[in-house]
Amino acid sequence: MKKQILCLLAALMLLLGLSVSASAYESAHVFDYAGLLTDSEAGALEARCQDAEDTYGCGVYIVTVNDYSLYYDAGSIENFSEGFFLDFELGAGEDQNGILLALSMAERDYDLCAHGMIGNRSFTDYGKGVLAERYFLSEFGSDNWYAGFDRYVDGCMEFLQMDAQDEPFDQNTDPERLEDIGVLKWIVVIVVPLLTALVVCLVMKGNMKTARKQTHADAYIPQNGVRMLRQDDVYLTTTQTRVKIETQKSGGGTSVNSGGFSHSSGKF
Amino acid sequence: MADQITNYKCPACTGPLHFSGASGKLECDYCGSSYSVEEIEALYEKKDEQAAQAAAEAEQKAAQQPDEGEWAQPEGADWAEPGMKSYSCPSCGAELICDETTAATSCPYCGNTTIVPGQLSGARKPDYIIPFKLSKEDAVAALKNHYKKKPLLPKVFSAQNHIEKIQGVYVPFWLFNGSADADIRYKCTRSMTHREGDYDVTDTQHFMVYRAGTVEFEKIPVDASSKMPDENMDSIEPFDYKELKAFSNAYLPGFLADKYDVSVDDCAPRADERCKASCEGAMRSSVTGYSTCVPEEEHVRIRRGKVQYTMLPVWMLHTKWKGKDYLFSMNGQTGKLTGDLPVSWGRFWAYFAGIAGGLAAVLAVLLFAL
Repeated sequence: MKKQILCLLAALMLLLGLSVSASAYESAHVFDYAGLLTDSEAGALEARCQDAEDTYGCGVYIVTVNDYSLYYDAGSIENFSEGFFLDFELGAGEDQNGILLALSMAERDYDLCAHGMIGNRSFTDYGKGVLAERYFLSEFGSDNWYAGFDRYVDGCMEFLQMDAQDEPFDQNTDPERLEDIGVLKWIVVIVVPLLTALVVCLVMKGNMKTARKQTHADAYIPQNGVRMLRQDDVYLTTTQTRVKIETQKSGGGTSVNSGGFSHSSGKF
Repeated sequence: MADQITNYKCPACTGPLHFSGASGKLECDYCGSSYSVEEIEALYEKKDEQAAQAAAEAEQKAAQQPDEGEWAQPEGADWAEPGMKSYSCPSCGAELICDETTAATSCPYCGNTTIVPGQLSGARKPDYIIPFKLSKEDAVAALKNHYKKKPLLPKVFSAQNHIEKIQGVYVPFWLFNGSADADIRYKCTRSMTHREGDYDVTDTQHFMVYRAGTVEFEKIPVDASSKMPDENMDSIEPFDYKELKAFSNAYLPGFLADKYDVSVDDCAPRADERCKASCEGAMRSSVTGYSTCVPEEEHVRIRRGKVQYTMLPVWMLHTKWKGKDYLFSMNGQTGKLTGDLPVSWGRFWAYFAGIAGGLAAVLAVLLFAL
């Protein structure tokens, strides 16, 4: 009850104090302050999110705003997600397990924010990246909001189901990646030996040919036969290039911050 | 100019003498006596003095000719001497010279056995010669060794070619002397990379580098026989010119000598090309301490000097395999041997399948089973 009252108060604050769309929708799992969804679409998504929470004990949330920076003095969309999650006391169970997808329309930012034991275990860093890439980014890129959110809920259900089967979605359990690795292994087994054998045999064939034309006459330069008459090295200018160092995360798992949240964010 | 005496006879029994590379002496096949070249030449002092004088005069004349962009042609003496004979090969056109004690039975270039004897005429006498140092036995052993550790060589190839037919041939060479002047401008860079926070920062210093200099060249050999593949002769270089001697017919017995049929002018482009490449290389090697170095402007001028006509010792074997000619050549002084070998495609693909199959099996175990 307290949670619902808080939600209502917060929503009231947002509606009064900030620029919220007239068609804003708000429920326990879907907070469409940017007005991207019709009521029926939002209702359908709410039902699916509720179903996911009931089945797997992890809340699945959707939040849309026009500009995240207007909320909670958020300097980043990650801060906004965390503020919203805590402010609305989202999450299921004592651990407040949940996954939240926040969209900010001003700069077309998105953030996937996981919290709680189940949330962070089901949605690993790798998993959140896959969820965005394979499920909803392409739909959002074409402004297909409902389809994108629907695919997001599909992905969440799949990831939560895998976690429920003690096999959370990660690099070593991603079926598509494993399939790619399998194909890659076969390529290695077939192509590498063929290329190696070809190189070895061509080297052996090359050894059969020993007669080659000489292109230089170095052997016929007498001792002290080279006299340098001019050796000038003139400095011209200095140029500078800067290349950002790409840090590649190896292995799987989830990077959780001090607040218990993990994120994956970007543009859509 | 030498005018006669090419048939050296044993002072003891008057039998013919031949030069042995192993002992470095002239040996008699009949009584077994052996003589140093100096001893024999002392006996034939007068004639040899005349020959040496002719060679010296030729060299002096060549040295006096100033280089004005042309290679100074040697003015050799006429080689048409009594006692010398020639053979011509109707198959490849080779004209071979030998003394009358040496019998040529096959052409060393194409293997043709019906070579035609004739009288030597119109041949220029060489200025210098490097005598054979290695024997026929050495050449046969080197050739057998050349066949070893060649997994793609057809087994029957080495069995079917008659390596005992290898012949010692003095191959005609032009030795080019000169120098090259270079004036080259390079664009060079020197890079240093350090890390600043999340960035790799590369500072690149740009330089304009100038190099100018002169490179001397002595006796660049270019074979003067059209029948001899250039690749074969280039590959058995270098010869040790410390053993270069004024030409004397005393070194010929037992060996054939090829008569040059490619002129100095026709050989000159190859010498020019090698001079230029080495001159550029010498300048480039003085540009050090840079990450990149690209020549932007090059001027190389060749100062052409004298050319010497020289006979260099080569052991040669010609053989045919499935309709294709194979010529093996060995430096008669250093033993360096060259000659392309045929490839058994059956063996090639067998090795290919073996290596690919074996490696695939190992990788399959490593990637799938472990």
